[in-house]
Amino acid sequence: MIRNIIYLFNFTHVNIKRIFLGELFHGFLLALPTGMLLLVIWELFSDVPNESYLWKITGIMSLSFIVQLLVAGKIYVYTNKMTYRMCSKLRLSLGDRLQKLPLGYYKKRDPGDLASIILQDVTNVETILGHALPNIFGSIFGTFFLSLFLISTDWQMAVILLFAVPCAFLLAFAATLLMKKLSHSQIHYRNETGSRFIEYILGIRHLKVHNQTGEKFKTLEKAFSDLRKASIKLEAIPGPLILLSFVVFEFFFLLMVYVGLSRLTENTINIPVIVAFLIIGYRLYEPLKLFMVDYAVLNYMNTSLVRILDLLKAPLQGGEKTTVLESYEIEFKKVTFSYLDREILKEVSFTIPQKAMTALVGASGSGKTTIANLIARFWDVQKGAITIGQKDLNRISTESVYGMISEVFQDVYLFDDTIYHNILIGRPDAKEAEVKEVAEKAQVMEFLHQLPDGLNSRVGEGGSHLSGGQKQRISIARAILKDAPIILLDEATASLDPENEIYIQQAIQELVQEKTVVVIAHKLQTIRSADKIIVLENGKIKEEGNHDQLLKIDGLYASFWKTQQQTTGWKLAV
Amino acid sequence: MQIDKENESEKRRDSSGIGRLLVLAGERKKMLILSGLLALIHAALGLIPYVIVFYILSQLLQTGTGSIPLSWLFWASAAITGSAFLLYGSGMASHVAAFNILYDLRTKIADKLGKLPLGYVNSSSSGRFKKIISDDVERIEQFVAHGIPDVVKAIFLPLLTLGFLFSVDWRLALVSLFPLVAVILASMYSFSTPRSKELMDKYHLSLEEMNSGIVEFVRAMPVMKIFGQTASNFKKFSDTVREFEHFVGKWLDESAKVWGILMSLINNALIPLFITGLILYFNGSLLLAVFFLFLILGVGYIRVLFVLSTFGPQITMISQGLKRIDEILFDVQAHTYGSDSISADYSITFDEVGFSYHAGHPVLKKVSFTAPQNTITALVGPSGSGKSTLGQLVPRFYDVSEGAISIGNQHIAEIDEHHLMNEVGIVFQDSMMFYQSMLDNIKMGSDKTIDEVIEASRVAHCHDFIMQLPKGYDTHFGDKGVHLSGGEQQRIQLARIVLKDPKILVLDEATAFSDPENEHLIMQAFSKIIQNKTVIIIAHRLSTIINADQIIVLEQGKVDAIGEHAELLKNSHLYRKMWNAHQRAKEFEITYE
Repeated sequence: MIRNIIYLFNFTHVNIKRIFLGELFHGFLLALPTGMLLLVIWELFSDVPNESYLWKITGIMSLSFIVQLLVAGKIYVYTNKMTYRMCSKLRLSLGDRLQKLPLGYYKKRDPGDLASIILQDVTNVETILGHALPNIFGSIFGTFFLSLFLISTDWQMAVILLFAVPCAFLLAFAATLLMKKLSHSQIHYRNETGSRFIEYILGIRHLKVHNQTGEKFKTLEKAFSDLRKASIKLEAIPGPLILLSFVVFEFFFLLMVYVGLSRLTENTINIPVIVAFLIIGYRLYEPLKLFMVDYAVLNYMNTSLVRILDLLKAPLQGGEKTTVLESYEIEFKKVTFSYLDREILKEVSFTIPQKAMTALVGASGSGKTTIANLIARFWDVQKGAITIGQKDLNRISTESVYGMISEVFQDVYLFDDTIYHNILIGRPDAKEAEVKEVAEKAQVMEFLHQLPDGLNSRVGEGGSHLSGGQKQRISIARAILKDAPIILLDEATASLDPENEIYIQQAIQELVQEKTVVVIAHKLQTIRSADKIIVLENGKIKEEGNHDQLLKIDGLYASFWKTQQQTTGWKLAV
Repeated sequence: MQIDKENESEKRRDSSGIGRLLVLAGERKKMLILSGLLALIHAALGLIPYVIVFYILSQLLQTGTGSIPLSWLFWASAAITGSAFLLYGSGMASHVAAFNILYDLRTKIADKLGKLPLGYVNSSSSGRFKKIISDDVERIEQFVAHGIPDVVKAIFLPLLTLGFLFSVDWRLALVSLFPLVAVILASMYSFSTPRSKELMDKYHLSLEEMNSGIVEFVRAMPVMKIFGQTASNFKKFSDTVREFEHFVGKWLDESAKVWGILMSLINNALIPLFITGLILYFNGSLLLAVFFLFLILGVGYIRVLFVLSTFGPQITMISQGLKRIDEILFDVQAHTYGSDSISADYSITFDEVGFSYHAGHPVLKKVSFTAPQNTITALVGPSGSGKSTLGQLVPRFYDVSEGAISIGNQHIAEIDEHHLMNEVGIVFQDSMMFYQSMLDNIKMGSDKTIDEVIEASRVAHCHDFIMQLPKGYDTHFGDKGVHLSGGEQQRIQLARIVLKDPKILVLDEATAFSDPENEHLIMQAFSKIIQNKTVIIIAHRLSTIINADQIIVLEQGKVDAIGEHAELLKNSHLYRKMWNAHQRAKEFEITYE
């Protein structure tokens, strides 16, 4: 934990020394009244207490009060500003990091989850560190000064008192170990509740028609009650240990009293010393108890910190800037790829000729989409290699790879902006006439007359004002404008909006001309004239060839083709 | 003061803020009273060691000997142990109460959401609801589990301490009140000024702005990366982050003054006591032991109050969450349903039905037609024509804005929800699998036998792939290694309908497109389940519905034409146009020129 915190300070270049000095001074001020108190007790025990001396001490105390009034706020501001500055830097570095991560990362993790690292986790660190640091410094110095004094007064008594510290921390440590284990399961159930609840909300229509809402939906109810059980356990089991770690102080104090009193009868100690220990003893423990509370809070913060550091240390993709290649032929050489413990591609080798159309065919889960994602370098292959124009894909920077590729997939992200600007993203320096031309080609113009402001109509958040097919056509317009040499295309996008299928098809027709095209195909009719068809089954290549060749083999492709021909013959009948 | 003001503005509910929290806590009153009582005794027992130390002190100072009975020390340790146990008991009682309250709240929210019109649930993202049920509900634990015992301690520990001190020496006790008063005054000043409130609001606003900036940044990232425009996106993001830092700096400057004063007051609370004590001692009217007692106990109780000072901002946070919870629980009205049973006639009639999701943007306008019992009615039309919406009105997911829908001759608004849902089945475009066994996913809470379930899944073509799963029908969806394709999930959805065997079926034909490789299996299942039902089919590909008993052509929310396929080809321009486009789309081939 401490290592993580120090890493954080170093990483963000925040001057920890000045914070340290400031808090050191404040810690000294915090401990001063107790120190003075000791001097007073001492003096009061002398045969003739010196009154003016005592008033002097009172004067010093008042003075230190005034000094503290003046500086406490400033030191507090400094420490906190520094932690906020550090967290700002942290947010910026995390943001920078997110830009450089493999795109696949975004497919694997929920974007809300990634955002919550920058939001929630950094905020946790921010508020906790800002509060806990001053407290911890105060406790350390307070305890340090007091123990020095006690040891010099009577080391035996002091040792008894101080012995409570390792005991308490041992107990606290055991408690945190226990808590870590239990909180693991509590967090598991908490996430479980969240997922089950999201499922409930997303599926509420389905549950409604089957009269399964509310308590009748047992899966959700069970998640709620499991969470309750785990939460109670998390409090109940480590609770006694934590309490014990506090009580330990009180017991050692009583032990000290007992030893003190028995030594008094042996005359190896005098009354003022005992009295001093009686009064100071309790004071010694107070900052320690605070420290233990802060320690627990810091532990909690550490889980956030770990998530932050994990993201900061996540591996990036290397490669150099490459703008133009001589050829855009793509080659897979014995590529193996696993995702979430599942092997999706197994030693796959094939070539995709340039300026031709290659179709990937196979049942869902056969690896078609993965191949497209690997070409776009969303992920790096684990074994084997992919080359574009003989150049290893891993040696081309991701920016350059994205620059060579346009993809039209099922999920389109539109910004809450105008249609015009959403198309312009394809090539920001394009002229207005060019945008209009691609809008025409991609059949965007076809639906513009329905919208109030034509190309300048806003699309709503995530494109909510438009139908699926209309969004698709905007994304195709983007791709045409970008004019990248390689096109990755999911053919199923067309059937997302069956009424507009014909328009999307026309848009696709415009997009693919003169490019190296890879189509993930579902309706075989569409890719009948492809130059090359690769048939996949369970992550392996089953057949390769053009339509006629594959029909002749009479294998998997031929059987796909036959069933699809049948399907179109389906008619509704009572 | 603050509670009263909010009370007036929130008349629909009993209360809000602390008041509302207390009402919530009241649901587990007994547990919490127990917790408070235990905390009180804990505080009282906790004082005993101090009292004993005081007597040891006075004994030492008066007699000069240490002849103190060891039994005192024994009692002191007994008190400490007892006090710790009581604290544990108090904490457990309040936590058990708290977690039960959270559980109740969660089930209530889920239940209410199930009863609300779909429009409300769809109006927000699922993430927002999740945040409410996880985070907002969770925060209440802080108040119930920690707040209540802590407040009891924070109030009674100083009271008990002061009581004891007054019984020993009232003059010094009076002086030791001094820092307490100062702390209360200082914090009242800092937390109640309009300026501090304004700052607090601004702080939250600034935080929210940064939050939405970050969310947008992350969401837009994949697209920005692909088009190589991360820089401008990053600039927006970094601006909000810097803005926040800047504001926090200002906020700190303001709030630090009070914090500094409070901290200094608490740390130096001894000074007045010290001065008075010295004067009295040199007067000869104060015993040394008493002086020392006050030096130990006189100001220690203030620290406990610190707990209360963090309480204020916490309550604001909790209350904001509670507001969102109460919005769901109280502000939105659930449907009211009649309780009549359904007649034996399962024809469906739309009578001049008008509907809009948002006032002023009608999706359906004066739609009238009748779907006779045991026939097939197909809805066709360009996207945005309102055909999917129309399908959703039959099970009353939304209430019509004008006109009425009846089953037989009964308005659906007068039919009990339970009854209505028993008679209506829907096949949605999106399938939904729940994290439970395949058996439960098909049964959906009904009391059908396993044989009936297997029979239904045979009809829906899912028996074969279910049997190939590691544990067959007992396989949990979502477990590691269990993967169902979109089409397989759709077929499970169909099995649900086969098993339910409703009298009325609303079917979205686009369902079939979710897994193009297996389209024909879904189509086969379709033709079986539509037998002997009143079927409304939302059609996208016209070739599938040419045999329907009647086809309703919709355009921009209005009925354009009604008739059979051949009639419409003759009479409806729109239908003809759609038919031609469909014929061409079927033949589409990507060609390279």
